[in-house]
Amino acid sequence: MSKIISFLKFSLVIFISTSALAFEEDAKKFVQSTTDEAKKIILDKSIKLEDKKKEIEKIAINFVDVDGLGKFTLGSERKNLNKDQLNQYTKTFRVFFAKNISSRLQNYSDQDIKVIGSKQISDNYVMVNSKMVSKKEGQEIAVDWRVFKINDKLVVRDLVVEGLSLAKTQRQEFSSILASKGFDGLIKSLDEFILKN
Amino acid sequence: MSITKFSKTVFIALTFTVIAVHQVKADTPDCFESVNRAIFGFNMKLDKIVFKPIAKGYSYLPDSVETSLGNATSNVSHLVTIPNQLLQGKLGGAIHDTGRFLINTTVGILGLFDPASKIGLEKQEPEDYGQTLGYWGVGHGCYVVLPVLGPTTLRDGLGNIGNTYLDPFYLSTVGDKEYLLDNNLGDRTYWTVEGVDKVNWRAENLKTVDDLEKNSVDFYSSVKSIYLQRRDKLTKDGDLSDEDEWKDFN
Repeated sequence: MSKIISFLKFSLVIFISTSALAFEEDAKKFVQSTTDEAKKIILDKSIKLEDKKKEIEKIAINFVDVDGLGKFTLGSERKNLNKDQLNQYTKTFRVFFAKNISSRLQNYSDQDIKVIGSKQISDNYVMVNSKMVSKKEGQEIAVDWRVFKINDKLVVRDLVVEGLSLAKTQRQEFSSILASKGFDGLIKSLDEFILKN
Repeated sequence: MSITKFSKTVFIALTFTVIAVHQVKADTPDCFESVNRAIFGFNMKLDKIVFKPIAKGYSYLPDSVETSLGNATSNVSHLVTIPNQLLQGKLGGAIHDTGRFLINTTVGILGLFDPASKIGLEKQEPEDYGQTLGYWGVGHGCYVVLPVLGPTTLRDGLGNIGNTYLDPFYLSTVGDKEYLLDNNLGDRTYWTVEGVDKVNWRAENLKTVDDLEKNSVDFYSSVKSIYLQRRDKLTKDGDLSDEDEWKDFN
């Protein structure tokens, strides 16, 4: 009997470690393939800029947990908002996010993303490490991706460039606007950004 | 330095320390936000009129010249990095950077070239007195934006006093010391190296700053956040330990 229990325990350990490894591998492939796909679209000269923007927005919305990111950037203030305000914020944030991504397109030149490693942080969270290599500028920049498994789907919640978290930076921005202008002020600022871009 | 000037510096330093030590566990407060924002606005205008055009001009220099000038200013910064590595008990890092400094100053012709990297002594992250205070457990204190100099915190402001008055390069140029073959290198040497260092940084970040400004809803807060994250990363040698808020985030 004790042999059976030991065997079961051993099998369980093997199962957990292989599924953890599989999760890490999946997360790495997810980042590499999505960034490769995005690069292909950006460099495709046959696609017009406006169409490129739409394609990239589509990829980004599938790649990123936009609602989760929106919640994170709202910080603790989200607990003080009512349901209507949260809905309004979520809708506005989705558009803001898409515009934010597409407005960065023109800065892209020849950078390649190379996934170089990963670290599982929790059951549903892996940090994927990559390097952004620019042949033209001869620079290498460390870019880490916080990849989560939500309802069996892989999504990115944050990008950490050389140790600087984009989600954290945005949360600081929003928190400052909330403190000085309140919720309506934040929505107004996001709307203004959307209009401008 | 006269005794009165020295006492004033020590008094300011102690005041900064007391305020910063009390901030160890709190988030970094923006105690003077409205003043900070006004100074930030002024700095950005100054940047657009003066620093950005200079950096743009500088960026037209051949890459090899830019790299060499960057190497030289980075080499001088070892004089602040090495004592701070020792103050943080990083003996290996101090030996590594002392080797780099000696090789690059001699074989690398005053640091213009970086032969040390080719023999495995690669460039490490810099250390300064602000980071050492952070390493010892002193918190940021208030976030402050200084005219021309830009963002800092009370802790880093205090650190900057050390970065200047304890820097052998400053002491042998602007100061009265004669460290190099009984010669004082003169004020101009120091200010030229400082100027080149700042212009080099601005030139390297022309696109990044433009991109950040364009994509920020509140540029002031973005810069503040990036400054504080960068300083935390340097102080904790990249170990940000902020995974908990993500692990528990749903």
